[in-house]
Amino acid sequence: MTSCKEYCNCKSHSISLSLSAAFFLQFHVMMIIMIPCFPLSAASNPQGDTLLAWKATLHLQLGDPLPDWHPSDLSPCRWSGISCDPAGRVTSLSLQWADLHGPLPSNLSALGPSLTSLVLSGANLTGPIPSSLTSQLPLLQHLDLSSNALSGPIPPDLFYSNSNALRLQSLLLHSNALSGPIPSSIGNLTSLRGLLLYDNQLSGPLPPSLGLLSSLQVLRAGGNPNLHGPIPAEIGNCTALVMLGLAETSVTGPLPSQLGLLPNLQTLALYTALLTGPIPPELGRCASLQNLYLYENKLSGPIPPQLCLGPLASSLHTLLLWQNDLVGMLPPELGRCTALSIVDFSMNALTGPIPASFANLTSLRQLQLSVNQLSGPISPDILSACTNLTDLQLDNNNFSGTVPPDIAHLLNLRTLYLWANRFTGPIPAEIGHCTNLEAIDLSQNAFTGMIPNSLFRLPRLAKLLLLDNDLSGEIPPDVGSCSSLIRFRASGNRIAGTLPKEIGMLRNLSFLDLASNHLSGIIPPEIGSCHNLTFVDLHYNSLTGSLPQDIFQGLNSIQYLDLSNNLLSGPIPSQLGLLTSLTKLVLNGNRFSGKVPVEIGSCTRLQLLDLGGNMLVGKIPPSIGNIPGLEIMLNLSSNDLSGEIPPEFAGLSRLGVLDLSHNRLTGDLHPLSVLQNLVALNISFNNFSGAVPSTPFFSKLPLADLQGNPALCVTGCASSEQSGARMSRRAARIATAVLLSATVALLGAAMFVLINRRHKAAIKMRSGCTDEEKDGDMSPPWEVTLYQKKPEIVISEVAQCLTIANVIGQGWSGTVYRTHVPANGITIAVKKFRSYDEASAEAFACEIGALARVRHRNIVRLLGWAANGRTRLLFYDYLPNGTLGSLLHGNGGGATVVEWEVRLSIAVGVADGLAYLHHDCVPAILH
Amino acid sequence: MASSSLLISLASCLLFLAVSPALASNSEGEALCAFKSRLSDPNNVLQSWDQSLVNPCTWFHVTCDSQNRVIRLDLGNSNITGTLGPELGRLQHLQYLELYRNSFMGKIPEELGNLKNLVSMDLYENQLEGEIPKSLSKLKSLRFMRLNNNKLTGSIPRELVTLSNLKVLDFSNNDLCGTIPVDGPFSTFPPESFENNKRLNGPELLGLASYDFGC
Repeated sequence: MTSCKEYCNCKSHSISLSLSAAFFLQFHVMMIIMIPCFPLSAASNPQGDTLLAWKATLHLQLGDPLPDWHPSDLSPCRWSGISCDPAGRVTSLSLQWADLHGPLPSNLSALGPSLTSLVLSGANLTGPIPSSLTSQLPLLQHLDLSSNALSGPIPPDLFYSNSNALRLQSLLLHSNALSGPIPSSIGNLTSLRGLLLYDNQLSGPLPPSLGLLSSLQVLRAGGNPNLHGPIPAEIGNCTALVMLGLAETSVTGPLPSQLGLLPNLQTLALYTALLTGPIPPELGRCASLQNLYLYENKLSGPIPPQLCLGPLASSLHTLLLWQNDLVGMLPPELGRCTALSIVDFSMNALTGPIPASFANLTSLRQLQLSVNQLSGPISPDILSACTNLTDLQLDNNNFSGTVPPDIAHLLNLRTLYLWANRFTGPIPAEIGHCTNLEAIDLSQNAFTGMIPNSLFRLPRLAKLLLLDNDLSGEIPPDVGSCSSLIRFRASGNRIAGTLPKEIGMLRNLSFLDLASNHLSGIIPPEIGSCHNLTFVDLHYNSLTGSLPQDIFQGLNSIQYLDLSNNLLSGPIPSQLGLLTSLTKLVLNGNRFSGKVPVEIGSCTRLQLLDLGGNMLVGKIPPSIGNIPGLEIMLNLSSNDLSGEIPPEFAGLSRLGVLDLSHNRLTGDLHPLSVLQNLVALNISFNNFSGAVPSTPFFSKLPLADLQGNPALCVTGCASSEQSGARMSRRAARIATAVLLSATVALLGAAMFVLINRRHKAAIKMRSGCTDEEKDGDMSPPWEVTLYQKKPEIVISEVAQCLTIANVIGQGWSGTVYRTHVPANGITIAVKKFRSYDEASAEAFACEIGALARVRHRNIVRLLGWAANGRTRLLFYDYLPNGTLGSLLHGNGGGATVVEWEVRLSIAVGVADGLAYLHHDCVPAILH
Repeated sequence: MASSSLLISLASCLLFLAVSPALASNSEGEALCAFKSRLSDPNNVLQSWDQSLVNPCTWFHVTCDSQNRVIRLDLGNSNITGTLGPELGRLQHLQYLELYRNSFMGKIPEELGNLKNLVSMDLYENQLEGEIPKSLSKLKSLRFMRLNNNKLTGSIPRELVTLSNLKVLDFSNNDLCGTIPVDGPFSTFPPESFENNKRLNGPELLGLASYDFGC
């Protein structure tokens, strides 16, 4: 058993981008201050009319979301979503999470003198953004059209002002379907504090004019996969920036060093893009930087120590650099970033040890360094200092040494992944102090000693993976107290002793893998209480005793059971049939005795059944042949099975590998002749008799797979092989039957000879047709229609020539034969239709009708047809070689590459095809 | 509840996808995971397909060889709905692709032609449509190719005649057109392998009628 490693580094950082949300929440609150409004005395209100005109454009199918927008109201100020100033003028229109279903308002100029805030978000609005929207609303400070289905480009005109500079402070267009570039004119919005464009379909480069937005605090344009080009250096002018988000875009090139000019930057989210080059050391100057997300890029070079040398050192909280091409050592300076809480450098090419200075990172919660080339030991100091660690993932490196007992300090630890390193020594029992541990993977190291008892007292442990170490000792009875355990894998060690019966207390256990160890003793019946078991692998141990009768009673979820290569004995319990979910059952290489239980046929999902190498006796249960899904392998080899292959085995049409070798099986191989999916078959060393089936599969089977069956005829077998080993009554009966039928046949033949004496001589001489009529369908009376006087076709002569030996092609709807017509000394082609069903009858009629009229030089001539109650025949010219050559190759003289017979069937085929083309027969003429 | 757990598994699946490329050893798990994300699985047949595992060899219905390479995918008769994706082409060592008797829709991805070790391709009794990709002619190890009882259209790619190991082929009960190749292994397939394709026109005539004659 080779190693099955567990766990990759699944990233589960919950990246909090709440910063901008907080910013805008504040903004909203400011704008939603309700100002009491007083109706104006005017009878009609132009602002209200404008709003009603827009409402009229909405498709309000599911009720009116704006029921209080009454046309009769003198003022819109009491309408939902409307705020007014004391003068009764609308200052804010704010409709969120309403089903408006329609376009944006195209003309709001009546609101222009007063509207400062327009919020239409999450409102199912569609269509484009009107380019005049902002020019109509010169006082607008806050525009939020987010979370709709708006499409089309962001109109550049939106950011031009005909009079004053635009006052827009926040522009929220995120989560729409906007396309096209970010207009360069965005640089005109010099008052802009928040620009949210994320989750659209924007494309093109980032305009350098963004650098003109000196008040900009939040810029988020991520989630636009087609945004490309470099991050403009001008971004360094946006000195007010707090948050810059361009993740999940196609931005390329290096990170501009000008990012270091952003003293207020708190979050830089540039993950999952196409960035290259080094991480600029200048980032260390970003005095406020808390979150640096640069993962999933192609960044190269080392991690700059300057990150933690400047003012950043006290602010940096999250540093995600995983999956880049970073190299070099972990800079000891990182230890100065004492606020660091989440560090993920996984999947780079980092080398060297974890610096001792990491012991200063006392806030550290997640340290993920998986899949690098880091080395050296784990420092005890780090473990005793970083007590806030919840996740320590150092797997797939070259770490070595022992795991210090100081790990006991990690009381918050949930995951501990140290697999695929070079750790040695014992698993420290002190891990048992880390009572929050949920998953431990120490696989593929060189840990020695026992599995500490304490591991099984971890109250939350769900996964314990210790594969491929050098662990020894016994599994402690304490295993039963780890009731949270779901997955327990410790294969590939030297664990000895017995399976403790307490394992039955693991009611949540789904996956138990202790293969390739030194376990001995019995399989405890208590294991049947693990009702959630789906996978049990105990192969390559020294387990003894018989399988407890009731063990399968409670295991009806089990899908994989491998107990192979142990010392198990006794019968295979008939309750095996209860395991209806079982797909793979491997009991190979034990000492199981008794019969193969018939009930195994109830395991209807079984795909692989391996009972080889046991001491099973008796017949193969026919029920195995009825397992519909048995398609991977059936191995019954090296037992003491007797009797014949059950005829039901013909039903294993999907089976790929069948091994029946080294038994005492008898009878013939007939049931196997129809197993079309067989790729490998071994029936050697049995007592099979009869002839090997004459299928291509058997003819190519290596002799080694057939040998050791003295009575089996492999090659050159006559049809009367009934002799051989069995001189039984049955054989005698068969012989009698053969004699009797031969007599009847002789008599019949004699009569036939008498009747057809005259024709016979001629046929025998010239065409080699035999006189046995193999097909009962060929009896008179025939209805015959001939279109040509010559050749003269005598149906009874033709009928005798339709033998296997004369087949020259298999067509769509029938078989084509070569037939010699003795009267004229010429050969014709006869097509015999396959069956007399209705479709075939129609095709026949169609073919007759079409071909009889066709007079094309290159088309095979239809000479006539014949039909009796059961069979239909068509007679064609059999084209001489030269003619066919020119037919096939155009200019005659073509090389005879294609086999002659194939060509004829081809020729007949095209005749049908052309007839179909010209005469539009429905259904088509099908060969 | 079920749908939220599906969402979570899908999300973790996607997360996994984003993470895995560096772990070259698990590209197959990643491919299977991507495949799973296309599927609806009411019977929870794919429940054990846990993306967080290092390789897919302990997943049910997946069989690996001794080097932990996926060699079989056995999902026949599993009440699965969904589409086949290009990711299946990344299962480089796959020998058996058994997806028969489900409700797979959409096209057969041409990337399946990359499965150079494939012995058996059983996609029969699904709802597959579109053409049989020419790329399948790269499957030099293929012995069994059953695409019957789908909604496949177009002509039978002539390139398939080069599949010299092909032993069993069934294209019946589709909507294929054109003519039937006669060379290579096609000389051995019975007419039943092609029946019920009402626009299929019988054996081809090399040089005279184009193979897509009637398409």
